[in-house]
Amino acid sequence: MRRPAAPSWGWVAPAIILLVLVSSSLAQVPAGAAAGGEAADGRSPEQWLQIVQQAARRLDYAGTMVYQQGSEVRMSKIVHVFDGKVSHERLQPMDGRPREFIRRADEVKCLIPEARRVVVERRGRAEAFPALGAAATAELLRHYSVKIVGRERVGGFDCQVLEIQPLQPDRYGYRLWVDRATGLMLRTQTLNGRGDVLEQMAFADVRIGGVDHEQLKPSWSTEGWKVDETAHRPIDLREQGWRLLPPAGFKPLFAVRRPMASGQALQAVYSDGLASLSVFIEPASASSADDALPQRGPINAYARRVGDAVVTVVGEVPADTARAVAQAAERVGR
Amino acid sequence: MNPDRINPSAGAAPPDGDDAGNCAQRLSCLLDGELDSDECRSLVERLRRDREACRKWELFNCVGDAMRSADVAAWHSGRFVARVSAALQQEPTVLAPVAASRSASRRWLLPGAGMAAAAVVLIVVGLPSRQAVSPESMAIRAPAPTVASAATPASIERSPRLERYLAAHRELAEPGVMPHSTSYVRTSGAMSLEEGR
Repeated sequence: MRRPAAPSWGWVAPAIILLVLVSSSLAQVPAGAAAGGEAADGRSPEQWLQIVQQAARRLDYAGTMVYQQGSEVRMSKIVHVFDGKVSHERLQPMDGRPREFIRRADEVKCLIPEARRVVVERRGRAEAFPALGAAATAELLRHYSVKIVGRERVGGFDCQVLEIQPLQPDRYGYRLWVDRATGLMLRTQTLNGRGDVLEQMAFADVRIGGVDHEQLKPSWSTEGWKVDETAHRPIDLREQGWRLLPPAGFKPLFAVRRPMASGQALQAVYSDGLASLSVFIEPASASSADDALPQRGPINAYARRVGDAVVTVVGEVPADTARAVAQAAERVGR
Repeated sequence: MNPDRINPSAGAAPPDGDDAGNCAQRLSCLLDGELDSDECRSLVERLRRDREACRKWELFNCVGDAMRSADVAAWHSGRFVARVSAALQQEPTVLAPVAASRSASRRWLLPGAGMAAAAVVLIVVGLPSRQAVSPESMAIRAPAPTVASAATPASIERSPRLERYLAAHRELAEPGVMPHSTSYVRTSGAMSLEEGR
């Protein structure tokens, strides 16, 4: 029954390769795909936005995230778990000094092992409120258009590609690749008016569901470490004698007094649901002058002297927008 | 191997030098954004398993950082950074601007050229690891530095002042389209409190 070996080897290797390819692609199909994946067609772009937002908050996933900005590439391990009430996240940057960021709802603990120090950042809101929430979507569409531009495979997942374009050139556009089965965003790009990619994030690998909660635990025991909390107190800008004019659709999120390197500063934060900008107001020094700070990917900053203060606008907005907000800042009588 | 050696040609390539060199070249390509998504994935997969590749990745980043800003490079091992900086100063010809006529493609070439120059500097300095990147593999990328200008594009220079604002902004800003954690990756892990001290 022995067959001659030589001719059979010709197809064995390709067959093995084919088998490996087929089995590995099968292994990457998410659990939910077979069950409800087909119902995905017929969803409006707006519905997709809401699915993305829900998925980002409620899905358990773990993977490696690659972030690129210009010539810089950074990789991080990320674990995300939703406990039924709030989301938990652990981020481990793989480059630079060892750091870990452990988030629970709106509180982020930043672990600095070489200093045996934990910095606790707290936004002061029950849950970091969803950027793409249902009510926010309608508001969003007053300043952006959203459309489905295609269907692509990313990291082995069948993805819907969405494009969010600003109606005015005073903000950026975005392209999203969303897993059709689960709604998890697997790749995101921020685009300027010319269509250049200013920054992008993509999962190099990700497992959706079945995440061991143990993976949320930090690498180091922080027992005995020094704990610092960022302190900011709410203020009323008007009472402080300032009037700011953010771009249309940017709503105030916070106005606080906080410590900065220069001493105490006022910080006002605005968001249109997708992009945010902060306005810092600090006492001016002798050398303070109007100038644009170097651009970092989508981040622009512009500083302007107003009387005895320096107003610095920082945010994920085009340079012209940052400058316009700085130039519109004014002292009001008090 | 003496980690302090500065001699570029010291030591033959290790037995798996070819693989190590190939890996280094791919890492360099990854930094330059020259890999397609499949190649990226396989390389990231390797970085997860291969400690040596991880070390190289960190080194490459360190060299890139040293070329951009001493402050940022100081995050890495101090002695190694000092040697990288010294080697950079001793290698003016490597970094000298030559091809002004290629200005049309400058914007795209510069970041890549920067990393290629970094790769060359790595050879000059010598890797403080057990396996040296084989000079042969680097030679392929060596011609690119002739395009590199002495000036680094402003967009990749890091301003400590901007970092401080970014950290404070990140703390209170909306996550937006990017995942919440992206803002932490964006700011190199700087913290508003930390920067102020």
